[in-house]
Formats: sequence, structure tokens, C-alpha cells
Amino acid sequence: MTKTKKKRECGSLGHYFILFILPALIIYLTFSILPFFFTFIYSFTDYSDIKIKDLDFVGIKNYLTVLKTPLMKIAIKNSLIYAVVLTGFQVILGLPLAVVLNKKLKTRNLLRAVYFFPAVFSSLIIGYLWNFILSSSDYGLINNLLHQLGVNTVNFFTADRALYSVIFTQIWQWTGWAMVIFLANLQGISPELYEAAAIDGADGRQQFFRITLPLMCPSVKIIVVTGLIGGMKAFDAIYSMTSGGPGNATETVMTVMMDKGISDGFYAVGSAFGVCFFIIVLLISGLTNKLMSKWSEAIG
Amino acid sequence: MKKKVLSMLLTAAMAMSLLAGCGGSTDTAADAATDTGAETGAEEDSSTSGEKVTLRMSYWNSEDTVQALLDYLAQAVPHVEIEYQFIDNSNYDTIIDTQLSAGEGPDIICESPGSTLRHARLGYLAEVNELAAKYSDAGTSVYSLEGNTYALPGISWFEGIYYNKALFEENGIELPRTFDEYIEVCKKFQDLGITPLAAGLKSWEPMLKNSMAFVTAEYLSTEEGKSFGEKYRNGEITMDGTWNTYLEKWSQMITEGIYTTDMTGIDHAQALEQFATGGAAMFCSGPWDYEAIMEKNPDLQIDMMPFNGTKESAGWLIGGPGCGFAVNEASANKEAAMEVLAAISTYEGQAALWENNQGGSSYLEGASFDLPEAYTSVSETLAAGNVYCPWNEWGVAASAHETYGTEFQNYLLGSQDLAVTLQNVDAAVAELLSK
Amino acid sequence: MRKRRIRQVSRKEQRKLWITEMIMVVLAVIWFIPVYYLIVTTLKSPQEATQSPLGLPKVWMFENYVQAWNKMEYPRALFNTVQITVLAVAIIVLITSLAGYAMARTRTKWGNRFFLLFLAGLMVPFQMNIVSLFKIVKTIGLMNTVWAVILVDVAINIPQGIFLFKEFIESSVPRELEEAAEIDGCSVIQKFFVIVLPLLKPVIATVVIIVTLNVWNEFMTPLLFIQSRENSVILQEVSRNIGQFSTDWTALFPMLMLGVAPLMLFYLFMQKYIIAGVAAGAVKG
Repeated sequence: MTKTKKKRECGSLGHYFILFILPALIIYLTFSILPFFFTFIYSFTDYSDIKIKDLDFVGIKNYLTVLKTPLMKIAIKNSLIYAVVLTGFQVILGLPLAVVLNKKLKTRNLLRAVYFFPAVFSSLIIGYLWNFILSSSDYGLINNLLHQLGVNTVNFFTADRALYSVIFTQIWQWTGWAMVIFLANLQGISPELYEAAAIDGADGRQQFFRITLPLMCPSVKIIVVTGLIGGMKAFDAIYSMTSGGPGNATETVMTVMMDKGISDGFYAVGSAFGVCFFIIVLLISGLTNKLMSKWSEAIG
Repeated sequence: MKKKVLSMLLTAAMAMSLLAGCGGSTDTAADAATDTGAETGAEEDSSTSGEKVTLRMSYWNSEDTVQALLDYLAQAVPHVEIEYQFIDNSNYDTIIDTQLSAGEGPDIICESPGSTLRHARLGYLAEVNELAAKYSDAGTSVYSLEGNTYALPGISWFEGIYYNKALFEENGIELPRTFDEYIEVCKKFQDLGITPLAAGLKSWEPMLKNSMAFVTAEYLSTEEGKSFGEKYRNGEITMDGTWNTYLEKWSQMITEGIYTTDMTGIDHAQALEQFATGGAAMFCSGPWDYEAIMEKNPDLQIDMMPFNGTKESAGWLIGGPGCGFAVNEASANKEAAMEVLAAISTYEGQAALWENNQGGSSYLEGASFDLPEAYTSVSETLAAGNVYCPWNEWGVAASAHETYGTEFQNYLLGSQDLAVTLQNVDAAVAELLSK
Repeated sequence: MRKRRIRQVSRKEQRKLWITEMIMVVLAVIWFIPVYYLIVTTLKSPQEATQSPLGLPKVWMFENYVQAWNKMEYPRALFNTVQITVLAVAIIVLITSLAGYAMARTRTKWGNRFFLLFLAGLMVPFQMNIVSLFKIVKTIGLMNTVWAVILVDVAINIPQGIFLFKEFIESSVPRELEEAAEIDGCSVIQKFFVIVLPLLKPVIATVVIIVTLNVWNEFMTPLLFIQSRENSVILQEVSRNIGQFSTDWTALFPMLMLGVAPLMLFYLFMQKYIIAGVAAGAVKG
């Protein structure tokens, strides 16, 4: 075997590797890494909207400010609730939905289309639409219907309910998305497995828990990891529906960061916020990934 | 089929990239200023002047709120083409700050007093002293820093309490002259099964203005309270310990069920609709909403009453100089921008501006306009000059008024007492002042 | 074998299937109410919208749409949005399939290192970098061009694209095919475009769908980088008019509708591929 032959077999692309990666890398470095790098640097300075030049190094002061921000606790709590509840419901609702819509139903294509549909809406539009639907004025769709039934007004935007109202709209929007990913996974499961189970006398429920669930691991992993990351990053939907209110009831890590770090002009603190956020999300996704892999090993 | 879709996409992409190519190049040229003038001019009508300058002007209110001004400017400064950029309120400061810090941004910027001072300090804004001399001090002082003025005051804004005349007359209810009478009026409406005050408490704004108006009448307008704003921005005084007694009294608005927790599910537009369709007797707002209310219900007869303190007075309105017109120091067309500002600083310019903000007043010396009928009951208040916006005096901490509003939502929802509410505002102000 | 089993399905099971179907249909109707509400409201007068929010309009007010169309300067905004989306999607598909392929096929440790570098991007909300991002765009000279929006949107979506392509190539593109081609004397570039790319169709569909939705619905980048109305996108027009018509439902709802209509069409058109495609790259079946 010659050297070149060996190289080729190993699948190494040689200088083509860098050539293929280069276009993506250049754009990514310029518009993602470089700004993040600046953010990282700024997080150790006194950069703000009234001090933009001759920045001074201030050590970890900004990080201490982040930790001391009174809203931080509420924000982290809300972000976690948001990410976990939304992701949880995506799995709990999306999985059975996918299983059912994988059956030979006459209208299943139409049904799939309907459940997936909300995913095409931008959060700006979702925000305004649900604003009308959930409003506690007489013009809110739900309260209007409740009034016609003689039921008293339900306010969906109290301190206790507002966060869950927003999450509810997001469950409505993203369950169909999860369903589609589960469906794709389901379609890859060989029907012979079910036939064998049926011969062994397993009923539908047993089949679901013994065959379907374990084999769905890859798609569940995707939904959980992306759902948690996306949930932590959530900004648009909250912003367009409650802007963090009423009071601070729906502040999340992102809304606090945008308000303090950008709108109020504490750029350096905002940068420190961003760096912390990145680390938190990194830890969460690393952890989830590990746990999910353990699970798939355990049942696989 | 898939292949077809992909190839279609690719073809489309190629065609688009060609178009984007030329679109892009024109725009860079537009940034480089004057030479595009000819192009735009030629596009509009080639017969008039050859050199047309395009200026960008940004504002947080939509185009229709300054339509008359834009029409007027098109005639008054024909060689300038104004490109109006609307950026919604919640993103306005972020976008403008970002653009200015990169030496970009609109040529003419509508600024609040707080942001004017901030931007002036960083050298983003050109001074407009010469034109500012044509305005009264009351209008320009909030835009001034170290002897220079950086923005020209637009038509003033004010917020009072719109009320449904018919509902008051039919039920034989007199206009209140004091805060206690006001509470009584609200109770009467409640007894009649009519919502006294429509309020979109989903936003932090209504309670901010309502409570501050009360504090203004009770304290900030008194000898003792006059210097509060100055002391506050110098960090010499806190709200907690000063405002508590007044706000305890004001809290009757909540304890009497005028502001309810249910209202946090209603936004401003929905509250407006409730008032306009006769579902509520009163609604706190200002001239900017007048047209929207009348459009909803052309038969509605409305008037405005001022906010009252516990003692009888001419009443108070929350308000002050509205958006200030500032010129971007980095603008490539500063001269043309100044010409536009000069055109605004004439009687005709102010009249055009007033057209879409009827009820407000102009700070230009010698420009005064008749008060529309809808403000009969506040004419006394306006004549007395009882229009005040407390947070305009807070300097760089002015943006903390938003925190004040949010903290009052927390207070309404019962998650904290008044002292904590005010302490939180003080903390936010202190933080902003420490910058 | 499968077909035979289906014919054997007992009556009892058929009834069960029918009941399931009914339940799903009812749920779907409830699920669809918000969208239905959006659509019918656009065609009603304000009074009717309040009185019978869910009824069909008595008088179909199509003029609501005419007004919305004009106010939004719709054709221009639509053109800008389509242009940005199509270009961004095309660029993403091309560059991330190349990069994903390179990372899937290299055996040096650099493949994984770069992969992790790209994946890290998933965890950074781009909003936190806007101040420096803006300066970079300005330095490059892309300010107020659609290219600023396109390239930033591309950068935002690169991690997802690379993730999908790499996973798909590793799990579903057999190396043997490529090795055979190589023996036939194909160059690496030929091999990629002739052998590999056609095999990537399912995951290309996935990336096209996801990125189209992301780019079309991205609000912040156009707001930051497009300053003249000439270049503005649909969502900017919607937001502009929300300010102006927030009190006027029947003017606002058609605008919301026009804002999503093109995506609805895209969805109907791509629907077949969506179910098959959305997860094709990610799920190792």
C-alpha cells in the first residue's frame, strides 16, 4: 500500500478539507465569532453608552454586577421554567401525536398539516395574534366566549399566569414541529418489530412502551437539547406578548440582558451577562447530552 | 419533483443575486450622499432641480403622526428628500444607539430629552444654538448641555383624563375638582355598573403617569418639592422616604378598585377601544389618541379633565416638550439637515407639526394655536402652565421612569409594598447615575 | 407482507381507528381556531369582529386587504423578503453542505474541533453581540444593503446547517460509493457535486425549510441593518403599521395575514417534503 493510497482510504480530504470549510468558516468567524470575541473583551471593561472610547479594564466587576442584579433570580427561574415546561410538553404531546398520526388514518396528511401549521408564524405575529385572543377586555376572543357562556373574566396576564400563558402559546406553536421530528423517527422503525411483538401477544400500549419509546431516543434527544437551548434563548415571543411584564413576572435571562445591557446602555455588563449566559447554556446542553446518551445506552 | 424544486430555487437564487447586486450598489451610493441625489431626483421628476439630497429622519411614531410636516417640508425645502424611518418605541433607543456608536444613523433624529443629553455628551449630535434661540427656554432647557442646545423642541405633549361627556351628563355627575372627589366619581360609576376608568395596565405607562400626576400636584409643584428633580439627579435625595405619604393616598386608586389586577391583561389599544365604545367613562391619554378614539366612534363626545391633588387647583397634566429634532454630527449632509430644522422653526413649520398633534403647544416664540374643543376642561390647566413631566429632570436616569412603571405593576399585583417599590426605583436610578 | 396484515385488521380495530381519527379531527379543529380566527377577522367589520368573533363574516370585507396591501407597499416588501430569504437559503445550503461533508469525512481531529466550534454558535443568542456586529458590518461597508442582512442571517443559521449535514452524511451516505468513484478517478470536488450532493436531497429539504422559516421570520437583523424603506422587509412593514393601526383591528389583521401568507403558501407547496424532510438529517432512523 502506498502512502497516498492509505491517506485516501482514511478518508482524509487533505487540503480540500480546509477549502470546503473555508466559506462557512469565513462568514461564521466574521459575523459570529468576532462579535462574540469583542463581547468577551468588553465584559472586562467599563464600556457603556456614555463611555465608548478609551475603555478601562475593570476586572470581573461586571460579572459581580450580573450576579448581584436583583432580577437575576427571577430571570433564571423563569427561563428554566420556560425551557423545561415547553420542552416537556413538546415531548409529552408531540410523541403520542406522532404515534397516532403514523397510523393509517384517512385524514392523516391533513391532520399533520394542521398541527404543524403554527410553526410557520413569526413570533412577532404570534405575539399580536395571541394578544387579542388572551386579552381580558371584552374584545379578547377567549374572554368574549366566556362572557357569552356567563363566566367571569379570566385574566391570563396576572403575575402568576402570564409566564404560563406565553408558554402555552409556544406549546401551541411548536408541538407540531416536535411531532414532525418524531414522525420521521417513527417511520424509520421497522414494522417487523411490531409484528413480532403482536405475535408475542403485546397490546398497543405494551408495544408503545417496549418498542416505540426506546427506539425514539434519537429524536427525543434532538427535541430536548434544541428545546432547552431554544427555551433558554427565548426572547421574541416573550417580548412581543408581555415585554417581561406585568411587573417583572415574565422577565427571562434574555429580556433582562436586553433591557440592562442594551436599552439602558450598560454594554459591558450586558456583555458579561452574555458570556455567563453562554456558559450556562453550554453546561445545560452538555449535561442533557450526557444524560440522554446514558439513557440511550441503557435501553439500547 | 424534488429536483425541479431545487433547480427552481437555484435559478431563482441566481436571478436574485443579480438584482441584489445592483440594489446593493445603489444603496452604498446613497450613503455616500449627494451623487444619488441626481438619481432620486431624476426618478421623481426630471424637470425640477438637478441636485436633490436625501436625508433620513427617524422617529418612534409612525409616519401619519407627522404627515403634515413631511408634506410641508417637501415644499419648503424642495431640494431635500426626506426618507422617513419608523422604529417602534421598544427598539428605538437600541437601534439608534447602535447606529450612532458606529458613526452611522439617521441625519435627523427625533430624540427624547434623556437620550439627547446622552448622545450630546458623546459628541453624536451637532449643536443647534442659533435656531434654538427662536424657542422659549422652557422648551430648549431639557435639550441643553453645558451651554449648548442639541435639539429643537417639537409640539409639546400632555396627558390628562379623557371623559365621556354623555355618561357624566346622563348620570348627573359633576367633574371632580379634587382627588377625593375623583374617587367619589369613580365609585358612582361603579355603583352604576360602568367601568370608571379604562386602563391598559399590561403596559407600565398608565400607572406611572397617573401616580406621578398626583405627586406633582401634591408635592413636586410645591415650594418644598420644586427642587426634587435636581436633587434626585444629583443623588442627594431618594424617592423612598419622600414620596411615600402621597403615594399611600394615591393608592386609593387601587384599594377602591379603580385600577384592578384584571387590567394587566388589557393593552393600551384595547383600553382605548373600551372607552371609545362607551364601555368606560374615562381614559387617560393625550392628543395623539384623539383621532383613533373618534375613528372608533365618531358620535362620541369627549373632553379632557386634568389630574387633581387633594386640594382644589387648576389641576395638573403630565407632559412636556415632545420629541426634539436633533442633527447627527456624523451626517454627510449636515447643512441640508440644518435647513430642514430651520424650516421647522418657522410658524408654518410649527403649524404643520401641530396639525397632527392638535392640542399641544409650540415652544417657538410667537407661534400659538387655538385649543380644540376636546380640551375645554383643561384650558385653565394649560393656561396656568401646569404641565409637568417629573422624569425629564432626572438627567441620565430619565429612563428609570420605565422601572417606576413596572415596579408599580408589581405593587398593584401585591407582590411588594410601597416602600420596596420606591426603593427599587431608587436603586435603578442610582445605577444609571453611576455610569 | 404489510399489506396483508392491513387487510386482516379486524372490525374492532377498525372501529378503534375510526374513533381515534374522530378525536384527532376534533383536536385539530381546536388547534386551528387561532389561525381561523386570524383569517375570518381580516374579512369582517370591527363591530362584527367583536359581536361574533368566530362566525363567518356576513359581508366579506375584501377591501381590508386592499388597504393593507397599499399601506405595506406589499409588492416591494415581498420582493425584498423573498430576495433575502432565497439568497440566504442558497448560500447556507451550499456552504454548510460543503463544510458538513468535510467534517464528516475527515479523520483528523480538526474535523471534530471545527464541528464543536460551529456548534457553539447554537448557544450564543446573536442579540447579545449586536453592538459589535453593527460595527463590523459598517467596517466591511455593507451598511443598508440587503447583503448585511443576508450574511448575518447566514451566520446565525450556519451551526444548524452544519449540524444537520454532518450528521446526515455520517449516518446515511455510504463511504463505499465515494471510494468507488475515487477509484474511477473523480476529483474530490467532482465527487462531492456528482456523487454526494444528489444523495443529500432529503437533508437539503430539511435545511431549506428550517432556514426559510428562520430567515423570513427574523425581525432584528433587518431592523438593524436596513434603514431605508426602499429595502425594508415584510415584518418591518407589519411592525410599522402595528404602531399606526394598533387600535384598528380590521386594518391590522389583514397585515398580519399578508405577513404570513407567503410562508403559508411555501408551506403548502413544501408540505410533502416537510414531514419526510424536517428530521431526515438529524434522526438516524
